[in-house]
Amino acid sequence: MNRFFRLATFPLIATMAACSNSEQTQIQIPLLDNHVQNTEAAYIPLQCYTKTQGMNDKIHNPCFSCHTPGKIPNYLDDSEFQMLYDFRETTRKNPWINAFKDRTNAVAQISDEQMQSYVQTSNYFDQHGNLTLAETLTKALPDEWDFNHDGQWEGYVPDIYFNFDNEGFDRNPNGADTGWRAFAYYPFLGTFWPTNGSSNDVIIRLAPEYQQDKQGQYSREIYKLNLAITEAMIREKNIPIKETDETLYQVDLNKNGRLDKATEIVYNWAPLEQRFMSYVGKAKELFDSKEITMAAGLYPMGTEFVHTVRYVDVDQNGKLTLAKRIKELRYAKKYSWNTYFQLRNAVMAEEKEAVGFPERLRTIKGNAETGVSNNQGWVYQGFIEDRKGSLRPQSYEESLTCVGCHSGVGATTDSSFAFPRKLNADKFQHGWYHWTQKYIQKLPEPQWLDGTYEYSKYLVENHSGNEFRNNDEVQNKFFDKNDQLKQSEIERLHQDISLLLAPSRERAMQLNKAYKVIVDEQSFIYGRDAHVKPLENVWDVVPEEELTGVKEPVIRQPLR
Amino acid sequence: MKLNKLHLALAAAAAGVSLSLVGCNTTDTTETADSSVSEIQFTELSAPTDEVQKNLIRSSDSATINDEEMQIGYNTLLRTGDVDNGETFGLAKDYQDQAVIEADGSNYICNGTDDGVGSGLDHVSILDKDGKIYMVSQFECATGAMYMNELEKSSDGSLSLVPGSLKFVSQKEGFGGWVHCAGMTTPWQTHLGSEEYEPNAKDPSTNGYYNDVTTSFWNGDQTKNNPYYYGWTPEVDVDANGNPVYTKHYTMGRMAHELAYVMPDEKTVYLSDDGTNVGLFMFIADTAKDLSAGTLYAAKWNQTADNDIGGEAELTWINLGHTDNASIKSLLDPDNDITTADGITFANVFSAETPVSGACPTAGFTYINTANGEECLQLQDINGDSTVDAGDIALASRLETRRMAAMEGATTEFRKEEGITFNATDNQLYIAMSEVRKGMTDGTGDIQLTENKCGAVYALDVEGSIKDTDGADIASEFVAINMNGLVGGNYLASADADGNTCDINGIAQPDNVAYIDGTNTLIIGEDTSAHNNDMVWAYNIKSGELTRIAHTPYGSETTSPYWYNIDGNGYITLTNQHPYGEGGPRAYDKPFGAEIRSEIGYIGPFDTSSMK
Repeated sequence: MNRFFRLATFPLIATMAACSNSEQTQIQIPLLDNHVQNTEAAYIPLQCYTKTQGMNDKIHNPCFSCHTPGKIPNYLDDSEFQMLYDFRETTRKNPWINAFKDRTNAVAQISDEQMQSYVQTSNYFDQHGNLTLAETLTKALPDEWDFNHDGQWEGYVPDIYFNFDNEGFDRNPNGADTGWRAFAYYPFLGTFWPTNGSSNDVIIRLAPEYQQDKQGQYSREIYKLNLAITEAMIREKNIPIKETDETLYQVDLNKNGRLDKATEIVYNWAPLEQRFMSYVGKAKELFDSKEITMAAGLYPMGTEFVHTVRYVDVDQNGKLTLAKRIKELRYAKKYSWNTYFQLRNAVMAEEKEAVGFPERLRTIKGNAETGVSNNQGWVYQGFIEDRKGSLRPQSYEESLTCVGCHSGVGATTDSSFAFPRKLNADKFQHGWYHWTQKYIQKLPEPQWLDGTYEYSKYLVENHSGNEFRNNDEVQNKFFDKNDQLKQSEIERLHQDISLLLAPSRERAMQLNKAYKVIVDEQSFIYGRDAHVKPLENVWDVVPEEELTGVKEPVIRQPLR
Repeated sequence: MKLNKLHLALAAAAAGVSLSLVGCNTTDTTETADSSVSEIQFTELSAPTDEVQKNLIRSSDSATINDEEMQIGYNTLLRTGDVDNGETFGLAKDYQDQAVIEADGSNYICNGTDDGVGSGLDHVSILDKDGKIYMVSQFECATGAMYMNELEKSSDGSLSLVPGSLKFVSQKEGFGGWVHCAGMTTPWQTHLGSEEYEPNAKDPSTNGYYNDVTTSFWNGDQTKNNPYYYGWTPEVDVDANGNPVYTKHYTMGRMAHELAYVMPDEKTVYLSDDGTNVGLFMFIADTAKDLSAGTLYAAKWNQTADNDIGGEAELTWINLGHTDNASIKSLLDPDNDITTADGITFANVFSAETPVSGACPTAGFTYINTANGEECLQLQDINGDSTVDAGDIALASRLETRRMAAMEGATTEFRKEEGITFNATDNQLYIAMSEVRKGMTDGTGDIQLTENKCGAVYALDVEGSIKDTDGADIASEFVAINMNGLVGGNYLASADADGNTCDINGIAQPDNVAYIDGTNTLIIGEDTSAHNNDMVWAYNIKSGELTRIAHTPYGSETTSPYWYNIDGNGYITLTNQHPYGEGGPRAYDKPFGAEIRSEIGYIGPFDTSSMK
């Protein structure tokens, strides 16, 4: 297979080989307008096109990962999508044609050495430790990235140094806190497991007023308390803290009715019963003057997340580490506050739209420079590899992929996934650490509130290690010849999730290469899932009225 | 004061953005042989081309009324969440008229997210009553709220809220409000509203709106709720003391009411039904200005021609019977206590069985295909007189209007009927059909047309001395006798470069329609995804000229505009459901803490002294 590449300043154009013939398809990467080349419905991920009925009529349910009754104030209950596809006429056709490509030949042209060297080379830092993308955005902004032609980059400028200390705080080269704090979390189901092609991390930052004392001075102690309070509000449970003198902050953190020494943030919030929580420091002042507000299940205004999606680095000894090479740098910021009723109304409106205009697609505002809005208060922006492996902004169409998962599913908490899955305080560094400091090895399996082991549940319900059921490694490790789960492996999984999540070096290499082919093609708008052989268990066109075969939805629970 | 209303769908400037309509000498395309016809001309607005334009409300920057020029601007009347007289504009209240508060302590104020998603204020009627000007507003939420207030007109013609006049319109006697959509000011100066997308009484539990009403209106007590409480036509009058007088009309049937449009006889009302496989209905009141009793008819489409703008048909009308509000209300609430769940259920109205291959397995059941899908139904003895007869049909035709109409042979194949308006000069009614698709093009039933995904606007000639399908006289001079495609959109086999799937120089999925009385101008508004930006058009019914006069920002919505002419001044009211969507490419990125609220405002005042 020959691939030809051509670079142009505007629009960026890559030329890729079409699936099964020599016809060339030009892929444009327009960053100066919102032109959509492949699908306006790019917010519906390939996973939604999974064929759920397998061999011998066995039913596979990976759908429960996302589609479940939401926890208020996520008013969406989309658990019916575990049972029926319910695609609109305009979206029944699967637009992710990369799923049907056979990359065997292309993968064979990449040597293991080339691949491993690539994976182990950072595209975030230059050789001097500068933040490559940030330098480009601030000092040499390409005209073809500047959507509004004002010479300034108005989207996110990377400012994390991945230099985390023993509390998970990131520090810049001067040793000052950047405000970013890494946390360890139980990776979300399926796609987010390294065995399925990518490693991930997530880092949080609250707005400056949550980092400051009343005088507006940065205080790590105050910031840590506000992060713990945020965690309590998001997870709706008590969060242990280092013993803290409440009189310093004039907030009854442990809710015992007096200002004393607190060892935990007690979650006790019910405004209708006049039970309130408060932040500390500057944020308390703003809360008291009603300039900011707080509510269970919602992040403070101005909260930011960075989520990097990376290649999978398994060394020659078979040890998985977080790869230096970033596939995607994903960024989110909460820019507006919506009350519970506004969030309820948003779900109602979706229902009305489905009745009135069943074929109508979602309207998603934004552009390549500023990112796209999920219509519920968050902006999402992504940077992805260009053909040379450097991070570039995603086009509007490429950015649409953020929005499908970060709104419109029941599994999210204020539009995102990871923070409610943060490790508890009994873990390393109280759960505040980056995967570069300690990775997933020996991490016990997450459990729902009722004790259900979550990853085991996934294997039981989905009967496979991923949505597309093409992960033979997990299949062979966890299922016997009769296709029954191996109880002995499940017992081991309870103690160490890496048994499931970490791939072999060979598998990691294959998936890295498969993804690199997509990078070479720049064909992300046709799908960015890493696989060598064509996927068999996805629909090309979902039949009308198609059912998944799932009879009763699995109802997810929060993690313990 | 005389108040002439013209139902006008004109999107316009956002808050703070002034709009100028000034005189110009555009080509005269209006046939002015009839000297009684006034001329309104708008200069053509270009289609939006760049990202900045696509994110703005833009409108024609000049127009003339009979060559008269005028300076006008956009003025805000009231914003959702505004507090006056101790009331909060848009705040829903429960069955005890207590404010609904969410668990986070936030008020249940019908507004979208700060990013412009979600329903909000939909229609506002201005009433000219007892020498005062009132405003009645309805909100498109479940629970749906209504508010009223007084307006004052200053010497320069501008309108503003009379402080201390905002009042909540309690709907508890009608089981609360429901998804209020379009509305109108009746000729007798009342607000006639709507309750859209009635819950399916056969299985209401899966209806999110219904569950939301249980939560918010009935305080979470599902046993207090009943699907038959919703899907009707509310009317609000204002008494001599300036207080609202609320009535829920059950005689005009229960359906997905987009709009109830009263004709000049003050008795005949056309009712549009929004959704897929829906009907078209006509109500004739016994007494002018009193909609509490009358006869309901359902339309039968008798196709005479097919074309690509919606085809042509003769309309005949099936009499569904006569009843009054009290008769239906007594079925919903026999003990006259809204808090007790003693209302009628689906099983009291119909027994049902599952169709097999488009037919009913059991004799006595009738196969129908409506918005609720294919069903086999058998009418029950609703009134308990031991027979199933016309009396039961009359009751069922109100409780289950679409289903009963289908069983009586009416056409339930229309696809998203929307706005209605009337041209008194030519005795012609206009109805927008969002799409000519689905039941209208499926090769079965009464309607078998060429698909037009971009929709069409129909013209219906009205006459008197018409008989119903039983040969009985219909007591109205305004009976529609035909239904002919007037103007349709042009579907593009492949989307244009901007992703528009309907030709940018034609209509797409028409929604609001409004005839400017005494002119030749039909205003057509869109609610579409086939144009990136919803357009508003002025269509000259004589020349066929279509002039683009406005468009709304990408993804935003302007609902239920209306034209009023009060004592020599004209006003185009419009509601804007998410004003912040109009800022520009970074529309979502607004100042920290900024609040976004839907609002009602008007463009004007116009000097209408030259109108004939």
